[in-house]
Formats: sequence, structure tokens, C-alpha cells
Amino acid sequence: MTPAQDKNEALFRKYIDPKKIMITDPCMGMRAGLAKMLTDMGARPGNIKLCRDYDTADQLMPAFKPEIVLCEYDLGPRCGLDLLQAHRAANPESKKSLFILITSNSSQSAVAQAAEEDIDNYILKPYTIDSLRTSIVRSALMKDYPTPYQSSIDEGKTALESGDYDTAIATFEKAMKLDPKPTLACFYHGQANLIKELLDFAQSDYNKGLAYNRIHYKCLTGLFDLLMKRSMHEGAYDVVKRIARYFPANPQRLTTVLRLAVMTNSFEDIERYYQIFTGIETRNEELIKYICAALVVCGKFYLRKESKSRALVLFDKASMYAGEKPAILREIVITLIAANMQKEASGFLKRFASCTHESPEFLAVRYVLQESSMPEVESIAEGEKLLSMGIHDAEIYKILIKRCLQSGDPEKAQNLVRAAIANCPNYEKDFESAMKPDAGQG
Amino acid sequence: MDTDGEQMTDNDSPDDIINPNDFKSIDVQVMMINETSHTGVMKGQRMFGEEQQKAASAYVKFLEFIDKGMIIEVPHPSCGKGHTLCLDIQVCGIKNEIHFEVTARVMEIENLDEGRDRIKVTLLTYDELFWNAFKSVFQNRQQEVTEFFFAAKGTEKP
Repeated sequence: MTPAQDKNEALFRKYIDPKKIMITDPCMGMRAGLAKMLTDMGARPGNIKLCRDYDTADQLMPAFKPEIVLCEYDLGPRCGLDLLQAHRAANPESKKSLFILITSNSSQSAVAQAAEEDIDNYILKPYTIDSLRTSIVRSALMKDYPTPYQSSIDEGKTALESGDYDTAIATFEKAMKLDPKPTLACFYHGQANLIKELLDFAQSDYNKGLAYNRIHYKCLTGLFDLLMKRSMHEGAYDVVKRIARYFPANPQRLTTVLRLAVMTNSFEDIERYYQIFTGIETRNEELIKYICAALVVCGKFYLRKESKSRALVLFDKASMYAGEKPAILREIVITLIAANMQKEASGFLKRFASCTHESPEFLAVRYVLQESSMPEVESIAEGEKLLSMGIHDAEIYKILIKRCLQSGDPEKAQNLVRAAIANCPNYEKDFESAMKPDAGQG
Repeated sequence: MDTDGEQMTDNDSPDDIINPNDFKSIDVQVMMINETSHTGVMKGQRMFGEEQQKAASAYVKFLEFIDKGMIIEVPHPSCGKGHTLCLDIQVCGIKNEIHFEVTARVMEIENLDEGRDRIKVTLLTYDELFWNAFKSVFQNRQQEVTEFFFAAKGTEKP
């Protein structure tokens, strides 16, 4: 051991002596090994609690209030990062507490998630005891003996939290001179400008931070939020793609990527996202919902461009994952009917899973599809029956308005328009145009 | 994933944005046969004869590297101090999977609760090339993880 390491270990011994420590790992041998190592490094055995799973650790956390948590990422159905929230809740004031993941999970998604959560270190198993000791000692000493740069940032954050924005800005400017790549200082400077509504300055700060370090999470998300706030969707889409590339674990972010791909008409991107999506083993419901919705929007785009076969391929892909999501299939069927593709619409109606056959979406689209072959009286009766069942689908209203006009009952049609607007306000213009003189002719 | 800031481009393709490989982790599977007692480890039970050949890895956990050896966790009782073990080690979830065998001697045994032993073994016979490649997989990935992790946080590496 070098003299510097000796000195660090001595400082660490002093640091760890009074600390309460929690080790959470399903592997008994791992818990025992880590506890022994920390005891060798100066921890008091009575201050160490060993937990085999998330629930045990979570129950113990509020009363024990550990200042050091060493934790596995994979804790059965829960994740070690879930424990971080419990740890922060138990120690809201402790800026010197340590949270380190020591884990077999080497995936980029887990590492990125941990970086997003701003934990103190991420150490892979299996390790050598020397490398582990060094990592833990250094992480702890950085908390206890911060650099002048880190101290300035902490000082600025305190000013920011207390609402003294000008002091905060001056302190972050001082911090920028203390580090060759002061990304974090740029970010907080941007935050202060954002609070002051100086949006151009804030944007410039985030970009400056990213010029030093293009994967800085806080600058990337700060810039993204700012661009969204300014409705600069093209720029926001570029930024969120970059975030999703480096921080892949967050399904919420993938959904934002899809939403912005739609908003920016990047339809070819959506088709490629779908290809990649099919290769992901761990898809959650939210991601499935968004990819289906994005495919439908994309299909509608191609339908408008008269590219029917391409649109049908996209609807087909969406429907494969939408069996139990009647809203997606409803949208497809309604879109195809509107495009005079009744035969194809009937095909998609058959794809509703049997468990959704009582759903409002299924009943509504079945009516929309079949009513054109019904006599006027029957069609109106069927539509009214669905409304009385509480199925207030805009398409049902549109048909009923049209049928009432055709049957020479404009008063009833007008009443329907009022009810339709009350129940489906997003379609107000559609309902009003259905009342125009030529609307009832077709 | 490329985490080297200098080599990154802003021309993110969708393949980079949803990359199935980002969800894969390195996995080490260890099968153990005790050459001294002629038993293996399978599903937490000691196995004999033919069955030992099928000894499964789920119950042997690789914990730490030590100098020319390792610390592993095994079911109790799988071995005694001084026993010779044959360990079949497979590293999956990487581009070029590594699969090799070593023989090792049990130097220390710590009996844990829950029917497990933490044992320290030193290598007797092994292919140095494989062993070094095995260690490098984790050292290199740790280095990548550390680079990315602290760059993303924007704090100094400890």
C-alpha cells in the first residue's frame, strides 16, 4: 500500500467509525464478505445490518437510518435503486451519506439508471478486494473532503435552494473557474437562469455544459425540458434521442422519443423503432402502448399519402401487440372506414381479443362498420341504444347526426350535436360540419 | 455502447436509441465437481456418479477474484479444506464467450447460515490465457462503467 493509500485508509477509518451501515444482497456470502471487509476497515460490527432482500431493508430503513448503504441492483422483483428512495427519505438532510451499488448487473441500462439517480458509485461483481476497498474509500472521502470546485457548487446550490439566485449565479461562475470541465457548474448556472426566466441564457448554459461533456445527464435533461417548454420540438427530439441513446433504461423516455417522432413527422424513425422494439425481451405495457399508437399515427400518415399497402403493414404490426388494447384497434378500424377500406376494416375488427368484445371500443366500431347496411330507422335505434349504454363514441354521434338529417329530423340532429360536443369536445368541429346542408346527403 | 465523448456523433440512429444489447448483463456460470469426494453441485444437492457431470451453476456463486484464485459460495457441505475442485467457468453475455476449466484447492471455508459455505480456493492447474481473459472482462467493463458513470454525473472519478 502506498503512503497516499495509507493516509486515505486512516481518514476512512475515522470517517466510518461512527457510521451505521446497511448491506443488502440476496447472496449470503456477499453480505458476509462485505461486512468483514468494512469491519477490517474500521466499521463497528454492531453498526452493520445485513439484509437479504428489499422488503427487509425497506422495513429497517426508517428506524435504522443508515449513513452508508451497499446494495445489489437486482433484488428479486425490486431494484436496489428503489431502496435509494427509502434511504433518501430516511436521511433527508444527510449530504454525507453514501449509497453504492455493488452488483452483478453490468448492463448499460442499469448503469445509466444508477447515474441518473446520482448514486455515489457503481461497482461490478466479481471484484478484487483491493479494488473494492479503494473505490469505497475514495467515494467516502470525496463526500467528507470535497474539492474546492465541489464545495463551490454545494454553496451555490444552497443559495439556489434559499431563493438567492444572484448569489447562486455568482457562486457557480466562481466554480466554473475551478475545474477545466465545469459541466455541473454550467448546469446549475442554467438552472438559476431558468428560474429567473432567462431562457436564452439557460439554454446557452446547458449547451456550454454539453460542450465540455456531451453525456452529462443533468444538462441533457435540462436542455430537453427547456426546449419542450419553448415548443422547439425538432431540437427537443434531437436531444431526447441522445438521452435515450446513452440512458436507455427509462421506458417513459422511450415513449417521449416516440411522441416527438410523431410530432416532428419522423415517420421512418418510427418504423425502425418498431423493428428494434421487437428485439427487446423486457417490454413493459407503457412501451407497448406507445409503440402501437406511434405505428397507427405513422400508418395514418401513409394513408394520407395514398400509400395504402405501407399503411396496412403498419396497422398490422400495431394490431399484433394491441389484441387486448381495444383503443388501438378502434383507431385502426375507424381510420380504414374513413378511407373507404371497409373490407380491410372488417379484417381488423376480427382482431379484437374475445375478452374485449364487451368493450365500448369494440361495440362502437362494430356499429360503425355495420350500420351502413342497416335501414335508417334501425341504424338510429342501434346508435341510440349504444349511447344509452354510456358508449359516447364520437363516430356514433357523427353517424346519428347524419342519419337524423337524412330522415328529415334536423331538431333531433341539433340535440345530438349538443350532446356530442358535451361528451366528445375534441370533435366539436366535426359535429358542426356534420350539420351543414350537404352533410346529410351522402 | 460507445461512451467515449470524443467518438460520439449527434447522428443518432434509431438502432442506437433502442438497443437490445443495453439490457444484457455479463453472466458467470460456475459448475463444480469435487475431485476429492467425487461429488458435484447441482440444484443445491450433492450429486454422485453420472449425475455430477450435470452439476449446475446456479448454486455456485462467484464472489471475488483473489491473486491466482477466487472466493465462491457453494451449498454446505460441498467440500472440505484441502479438497481439490474442478471448476467449469463460462462467461456469457459478451461478444466472445469464454468457457474454460480450472482445478483449484480449497484453502478456507467459512460456514454461513442458510446452508451455504463461502470458500476460498487457489488455482492448481489453469490456462493462464483464459484466466487472464476472464479477469479482463470484468476489469474492462468496470473501467467502462466508471468512465460512463462519472461522466454522466459530471463529477470527478473517485
